[in-house]
Amino acid sequence: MTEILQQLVNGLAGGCVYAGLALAVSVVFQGTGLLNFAQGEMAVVAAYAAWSLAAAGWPPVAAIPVVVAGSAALGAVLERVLVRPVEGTSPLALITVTAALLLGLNGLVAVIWGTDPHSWDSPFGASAVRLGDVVLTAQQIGSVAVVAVVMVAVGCFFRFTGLGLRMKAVAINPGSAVLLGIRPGRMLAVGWALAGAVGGVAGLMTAPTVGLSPEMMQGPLLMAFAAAALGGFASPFGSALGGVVLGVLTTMAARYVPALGGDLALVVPFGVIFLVLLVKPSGLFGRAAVVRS
Amino acid sequence: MRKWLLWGVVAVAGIALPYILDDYQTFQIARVTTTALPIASLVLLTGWSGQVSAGQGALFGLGAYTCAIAIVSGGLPWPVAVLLAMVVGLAAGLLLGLPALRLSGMSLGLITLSLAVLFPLLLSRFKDLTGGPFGIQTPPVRTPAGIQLSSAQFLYLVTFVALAAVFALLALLCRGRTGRALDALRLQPAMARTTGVDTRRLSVLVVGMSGAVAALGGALNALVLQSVVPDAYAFTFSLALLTGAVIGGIRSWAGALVGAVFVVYVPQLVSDTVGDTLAGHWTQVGYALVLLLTLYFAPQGLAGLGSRITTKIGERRAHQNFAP
Amino acid sequence: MSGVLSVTGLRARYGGVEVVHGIDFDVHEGEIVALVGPNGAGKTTVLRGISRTVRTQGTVTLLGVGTHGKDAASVARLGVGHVPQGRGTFADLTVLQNLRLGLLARGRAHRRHGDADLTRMIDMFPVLGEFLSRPAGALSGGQQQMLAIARALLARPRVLLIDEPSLGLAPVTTSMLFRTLRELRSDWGVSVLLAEQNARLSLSIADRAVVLAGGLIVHTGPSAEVAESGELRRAYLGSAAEQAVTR
Repeated sequence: MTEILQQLVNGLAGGCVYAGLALAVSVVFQGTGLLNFAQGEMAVVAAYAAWSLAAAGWPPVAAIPVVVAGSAALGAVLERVLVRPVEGTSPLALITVTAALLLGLNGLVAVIWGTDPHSWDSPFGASAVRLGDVVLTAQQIGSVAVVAVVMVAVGCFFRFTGLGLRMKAVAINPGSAVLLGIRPGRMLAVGWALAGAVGGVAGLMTAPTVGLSPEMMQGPLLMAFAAAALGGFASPFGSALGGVVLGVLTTMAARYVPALGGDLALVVPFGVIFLVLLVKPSGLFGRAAVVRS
Repeated sequence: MRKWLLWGVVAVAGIALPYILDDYQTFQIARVTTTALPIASLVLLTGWSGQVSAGQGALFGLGAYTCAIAIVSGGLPWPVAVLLAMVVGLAAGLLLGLPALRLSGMSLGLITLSLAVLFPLLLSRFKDLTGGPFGIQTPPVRTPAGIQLSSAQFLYLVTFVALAAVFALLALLCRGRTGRALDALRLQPAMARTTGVDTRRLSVLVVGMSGAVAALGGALNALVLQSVVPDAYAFTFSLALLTGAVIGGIRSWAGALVGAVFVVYVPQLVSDTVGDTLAGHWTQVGYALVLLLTLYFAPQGLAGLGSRITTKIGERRAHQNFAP
Repeated sequence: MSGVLSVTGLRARYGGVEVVHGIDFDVHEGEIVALVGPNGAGKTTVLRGISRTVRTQGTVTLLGVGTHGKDAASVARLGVGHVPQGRGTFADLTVLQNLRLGLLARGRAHRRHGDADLTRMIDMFPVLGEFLSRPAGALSGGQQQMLAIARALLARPRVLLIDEPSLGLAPVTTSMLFRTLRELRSDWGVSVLLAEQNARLSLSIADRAVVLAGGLIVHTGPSAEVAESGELRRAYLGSAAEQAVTR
C-alpha cells in the first residue's frame, strides 16, 4: 500500500511539470489552432539560461523571474518574427514552422551550451518530508507548488483580465474581435509570450529532476502533447489536468508493467495520443467544434 | 512535352552515372536515390493529401531494420527482405493513418512526431532483435552472375529503378480521379466528404502508401550502407526529411530528388566546415534556417522556383499551374 | 449639420469583379441613414469598406480623419461600430463577457462611465440583463442581435453600421428592435448607417435613405420622399426582373 502511495505521489509530482507544459501547448492552440512542436525546446532554452545565470552567481530568487520574463519575450519574438509571415496561409505551413523551430532551437542549444549533460541542484534544497512511510522531497513539493501557482495565475488571467478576455474573443471569432478594435496578431503574440513563460517554468522545474541536456524536454513534450490530447487541446484546464493524469499513469505503468520500465515509459503518451485521436479527438474536456480548417 | 523530355534526360543520366563515376561516388548517389524515396512519400502525404508527417524517418528506419533483421536473422534473400520491409511499412502507415483527418491535418503530425521520438528508444530497448546501440551489419549485395557490374553499380541501379518506378506510380496516382479526390481532401476536407469521396479511407490509404514508400527507401538504404544503427533514425532525421521535402518542393517529384541531394550532402558540407563534434547540431540550425526561408519566400520549393522561371520564359504553362 | 462619415468614390471588387462602382454619400451628426436596395446591390460591401474589413478604393473620412491605409482594428478605434450580418457574437462567452468586450473597446474619454453605460444598456434591452451569465450562443436570434448592437454601442462609436438586423427574425421581434434603434441617436449620441433589404421597415425609422442597385447609388433623399419615389421600386423590380431573366 505504501509502495502504491509513494508511486502515486511521484506520479503527481512529475505530472505537475507535464501539466505546466501542456498548459503552454494549449494556450497557443486555443488561440491559433496550432500545435507548437517547439514548446519543449523553448523550455530547454529557459532551463539553460537559468543554469548560466546560476553559474554566474545569480541567486535563484533573481534568476528565475528574469528567465521567465525572458521566455515570455522569446515566445513573443518567435511568434512576431518567425511565425507571423505564414499566418493565415495554411495549417501545414504553420506546423512546419514550429518543426523548424524545434530543429533549430535544439541545434542552437547544443551549439551554445554543448551536448554534455549537466546536473542541477534543486532550488528547493535536498531535504525531504516523511508522511507516514511516504517520502516527499523538497523538489517535489516545491515544483508542485510553483506549477500550481502558475496554473491559478493563468486561470485568473483568462477569467478576470481584459487582456485574457480579448484573447478568448480572438480565439472564438477573430472577425468580430477586429470590429471591436482588437488586433488578432497582437493577441497571438501575447499567447505565445504567456505560453513561453509557463513552459519556461515547466523547464525550470524539470531540470533538477532529469538534469540539463538538449534532449531534456523531448519526453516531457510528448507527455504534454498526450496530456493536451487527453484533456482537449483547446481547453487549458483540461490539458493541465491531463498532465497530472499522464504523470500518474506513466509512473504506475513504469513501475507495475514490466515491459515499460525506464525510457520506454514514453509508450504510454504515444498510446494515449493514438487512442484519444482515434476515439475522441476533441479530448475529454474539449468541444467538437474547436477544429479550424 | 518538354516535361517528358526532361524526365527522359534525367532517366538516361541516372542510368549512365555509375559508368562515369567511381564506386565511392556511386555509393553516394545511391544514398541520394534511397533518401529521395521517403521524401517522395512526404510529397504524396503532405503536398497531395495535406497531412504533415514528422516521423517519416522512423518509418524509413522501420524499413531498414526489418530488411536487416530479415536478412541477418531470418536468412532471407535481400529482394524478399525489401518486399517484407515494404509490407511492414504499409501496415505501420495504415495503423498510423487510422486517427488521421482530425485537428485539420495536424493529428498525423502529432502522432508521427511521437513515433519519431519513441522509435530510437524502442531500438535500444529490444537489443536482442536490433543489436542495441551497435545495430546490425548486413552482408554486401552481390551482383548476380552474368552481369558485368560492380556491386556498387548494381545496387545503385536497383535503387534507381525502384525510385523511377515509385515516381511513375505516384505521379500516375496523383493524376486523374484519385488526384482530384486528393485535392478535395487537402483543400476542402469537409466538402470532400459531402461530395461522396470516402475521405477517411482515402487518407488512411495514403498514409499507408507513404509508409510503404518510406520503408522501401529505408530497406534499400540499409543495403547500400550495409548497416543499421539507432542514431541514424533519431527524430531529427525525420525533420531533416521534412526539410528536404519542403526545400525541394512539397508537390514536386523532381523536388524530392533535389531535397535528397540536400539531405545527403549538406551534413557532409557542414562537417567539413565546422568539424565533426558539433556538425550535427550546426546542420540542424542550417536546416531550420533554410526551411523557414523556403516557407517565406518560395513556398513551392526550389522545384516551384525552377518551374516559375521556365513559365516566365515560356508563359504557356502558366494556366496549367493554377488549374484545379 | 456636419458630416460624421463621408464616403467618396468608393469602389470594391471581389476576385476580379467590381461590385461597388464608385459611390459618394455622407452621414451627418445624429442622423439615421438607411442604405436600401435589393439583394446583391452591394450594401454589405459598402459597410465592410467603411469598417475596412474588405479592401476598397476611394476615400472614407470619419470626423475628418481619412481611413486610408488603416486596418480594421484602427478604424474601429476611430469610432466605427460595425454590427455584421449574422451578428458575430462570441458564442462561447457569456452575455456579460460579450458586453465587457464592448466596454474594453471604448476610448479613454468614456472609460469612467463604463458601469453606468452598462446599466443603461440593460435598461434598454432588459432581456440581456436576465441572461448575463448565459453563453451568447444559447440566446435566440433576436436576443443575439440585441447583444451585438449593445456590444457595439458600449464601445461608444460615433457611427454605428448595422447590417441586415431583421435577417431571420420574427416580425414582432423586428419591429421592437427597430423601435429601439430609433432611440439610439438621442440616448447614445451616435449616427447610424443601416443596411436593410426591408426598405419599408428601415425607411420608417430613417431620416434619409440611399438607394443602391447594382453597386451604384440610384437615388438619395429624405426617407419620406424616397419611400414615395419610383426609383426605389424600380431598383427592387429591376433586380427581380433581372433575376427572372437570368433564371
